[in-house]
Amino acid sequence: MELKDLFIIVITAIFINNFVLYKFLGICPYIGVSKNMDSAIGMGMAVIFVMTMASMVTWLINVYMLKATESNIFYLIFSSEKPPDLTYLKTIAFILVIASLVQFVEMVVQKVSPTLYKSLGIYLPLITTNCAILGVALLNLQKNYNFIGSIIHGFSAGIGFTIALVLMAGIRERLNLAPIPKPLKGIPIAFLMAGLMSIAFLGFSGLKIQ
Amino acid sequence: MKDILRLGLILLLVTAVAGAALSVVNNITKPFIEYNKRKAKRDALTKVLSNVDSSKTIAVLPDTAKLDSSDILAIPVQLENQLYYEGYVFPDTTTQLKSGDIVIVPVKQQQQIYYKGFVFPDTTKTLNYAFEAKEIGYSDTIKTMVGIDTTGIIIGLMVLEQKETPGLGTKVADSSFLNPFLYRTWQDIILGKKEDGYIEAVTGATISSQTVANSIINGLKKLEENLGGFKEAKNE
Amino acid sequence: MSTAEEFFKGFYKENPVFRLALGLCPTLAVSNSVQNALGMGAAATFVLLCSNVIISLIRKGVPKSIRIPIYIVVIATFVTIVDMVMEAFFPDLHKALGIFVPLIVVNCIILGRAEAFAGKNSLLNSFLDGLGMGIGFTLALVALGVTREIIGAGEFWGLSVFGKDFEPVLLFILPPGAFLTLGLFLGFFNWIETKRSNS
Repeated sequence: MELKDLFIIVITAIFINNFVLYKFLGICPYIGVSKNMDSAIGMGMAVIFVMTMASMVTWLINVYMLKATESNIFYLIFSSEKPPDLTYLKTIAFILVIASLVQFVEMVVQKVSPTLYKSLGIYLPLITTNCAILGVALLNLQKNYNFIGSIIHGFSAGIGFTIALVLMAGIRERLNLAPIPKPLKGIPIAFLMAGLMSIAFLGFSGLKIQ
Repeated sequence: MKDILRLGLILLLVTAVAGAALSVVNNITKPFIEYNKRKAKRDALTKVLSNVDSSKTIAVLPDTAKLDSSDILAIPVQLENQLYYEGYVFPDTTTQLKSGDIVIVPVKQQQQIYYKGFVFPDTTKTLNYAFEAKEIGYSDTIKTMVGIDTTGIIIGLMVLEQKETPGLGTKVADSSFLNPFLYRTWQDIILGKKEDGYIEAVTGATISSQTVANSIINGLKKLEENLGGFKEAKNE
Repeated sequence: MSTAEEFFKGFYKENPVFRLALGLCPTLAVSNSVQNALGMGAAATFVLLCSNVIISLIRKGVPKSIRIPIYIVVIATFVTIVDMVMEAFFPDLHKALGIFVPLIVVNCIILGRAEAFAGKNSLLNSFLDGLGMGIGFTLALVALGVTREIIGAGEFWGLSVFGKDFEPVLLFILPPGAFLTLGLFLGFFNWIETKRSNS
């Protein structure tokens, strides 16, 4: 894959097809953690890390264990006549990988920065159910990216998610001081803000890189 | 230690049961999924290869069919232990192709896959060609099935897949946009004003329209290269 | 809670989307048409129902420390089954819903109900809870879908509602429209709740 293709993946994932504001992946933590800047940044870092690692591991699992090619491990171990097509197991396999990765990240964060661990609270284990992570793993498959492409895609998607998250946190911190009608306070106004941000990002679509 | 072993075994047991259940469902649904895919392809091909007498039987070989002439004469076609004829009701295996029926085979050449339609059983009597034109549009890849006759003029078009802006870019799939492409060679495909003899782009969707046009031009150029040139159009 | 209440709470009082703010990703993505909304609602309800039932059945034998991975395996299995069956028998819906079918496995509603309810309650109650929550989810999706499809495309179930000359507000079919519509609905339900608690 040329450098140009990788560059296109990066720009597309961050701006043109932003994971949160265009693809609707990662909404739950987006609404839950964007209340203040520090937890937003912390969550963003964790998500970037998990997305990149998850892209790596799921790609390896797909190519060496699930796809029906010569390099399939089960084909080699059991020497059957035809490599088995196990791609239907991808949902189960990928989500288990992601759950384990998140568990691992939890342990590391707890050791390295107990304050961050406390402020992220329940949202850290909830990264497992962050549709953006499983989403990016499945998208890598769908778009047939190679190993490097998948990792870059995962990393860029994480960056895009973090940018949207940090922007939203900045806005919400200000909103706390603004006079908002009571029914709209909290989650509804967050969605309306997200709608406006989504309109802004819509301006990126149609960007063609030659 | 014993605890971890016990927990691990329980997890393994649950996963094994899950895997077995999925394997069963997979075996049941796989033939239907394959059939849907091939039916979609067959429908697209029969639609764009419009220079064929519609009363004739049309058989479309799967992409996995072997392509030397002895196999073509030896239709039926094997797909995963199932013997059947494309174009017939799944899984009917009793109908035979007769002389005069139309067969459409996939050909792989120089990084392009195109389809060749000929009259059974004479593989030299080519009637038409088809291929999938692909290019990234405004939002995502747009795939169009293009059918041409042996002189290289377009005889049929069908947009297979697109994820363009609803209400704007999605209109490239409408016949009002696609019809003006018919009976042109790739040199004649130029977007512009209808009065000047050009093809009108969809209002508000110039990028999507240009993408479709470009993908068709590029695909046709490549096909002409692979075939070593189209036949001369007969002048009346 | 009475058995009837277990069933109906998912419809309004504890509506997963409008009151509990769960399952938001697919809600935004597939609410652009009534067909998609119903399809996703049905698929998610099926998974929710089956996983609630199985998890309730095995709840006594599941060691607490590994219950989450086990729940995940159970849910993922049913999601994959729904995915395969949809691809085989409803290919158009499968194409329209795309990546959001396998993403049902991370729909917080399903794991949420498994952990909060099915893991601790009887088979009958878990079944009703799953069914009720699933229907509530579907109702929310359809409400959004109807709004977005009528305003954004002038159509209902693919059929034109206002006739050819109606200029739809395209924004509603596009991503921003999803956020705006959901935000307004959430605000609306908050307002209703405040009125009710005041009266």
